[in-house]
Amino acid sequence: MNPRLAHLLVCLYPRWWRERYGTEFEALLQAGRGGLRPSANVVWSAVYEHVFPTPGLVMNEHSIGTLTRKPSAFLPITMSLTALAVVLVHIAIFGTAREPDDGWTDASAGIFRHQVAAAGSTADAGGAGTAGRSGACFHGAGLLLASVKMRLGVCLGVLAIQLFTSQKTAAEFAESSAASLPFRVVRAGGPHDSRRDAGGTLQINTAGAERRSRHRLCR
Amino acid sequence: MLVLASLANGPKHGHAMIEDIVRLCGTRLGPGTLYGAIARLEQQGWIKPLPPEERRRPYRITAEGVRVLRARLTTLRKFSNAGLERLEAL
Repeated sequence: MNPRLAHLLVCLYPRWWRERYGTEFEALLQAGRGGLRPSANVVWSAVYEHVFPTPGLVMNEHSIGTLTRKPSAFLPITMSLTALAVVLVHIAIFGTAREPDDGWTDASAGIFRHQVAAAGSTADAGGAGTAGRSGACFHGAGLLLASVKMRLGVCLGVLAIQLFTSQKTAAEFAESSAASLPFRVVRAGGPHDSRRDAGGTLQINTAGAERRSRHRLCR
Repeated sequence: MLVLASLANGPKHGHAMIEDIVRLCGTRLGPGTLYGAIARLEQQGWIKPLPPEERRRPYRITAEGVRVLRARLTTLRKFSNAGLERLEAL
């Protein structure tokens, strides 16, 4: 096989696999006959090694196979796939409905009305289109979707409120602490380390300390 | 099992294993398949790598590998004997 092609094929394997078997595998590829079949075999094996790494080798913790094999990853993946399936089924059956924009004056009430309307329309559509169990299924799916959307909206709202209040609190704290402290830290020229200003507040000058430490370091 | 059987009569490197398996049963393993098997057998402790010769690295079968190969070949012999007996009865 062409050495350059052999090198490229070896590069398809994961790093930890190449570190262990790369040299000898490349030598084997170069000694063997070329062609489409061996190349396809190597490509397939490299993909397989990425998805299902050899157990015991120093493997990538972020490979797809490693992640999906972890029990802790099973529940979130299942929940995500279920939520995705519910949303896709809802869109496939009922489509996307355009609703008038209420503006931002009463965002929380708007979100609530939107969710209630979505649940109601879903239940109505399910009841009108089918009967009995299928109607109940549509109703349940609509309620589930409305619940998921409402939770997402609530989470985003809480996040926004927290962000706003944290910024406001930090600014307020800075102002109040500066006003309440009995001294102020300043960085001014001059030989003094501290002195009182006209209002009687103690000013601590850090410039003198910095200058002395620089002088000490230079020596 | 093909790799273990190939190493049963002495250490071999990858290319020698492929040719030996062709002589043994007529199957030509692809290079990716062979090294996938080698990696798994080595991690299971059934084969061991020897010091490399230039860029090629020979492998030898371990005592555990011999035990596993013997057990599987014995099972296979029982299976083939039973199947052949049934064929003779036809």
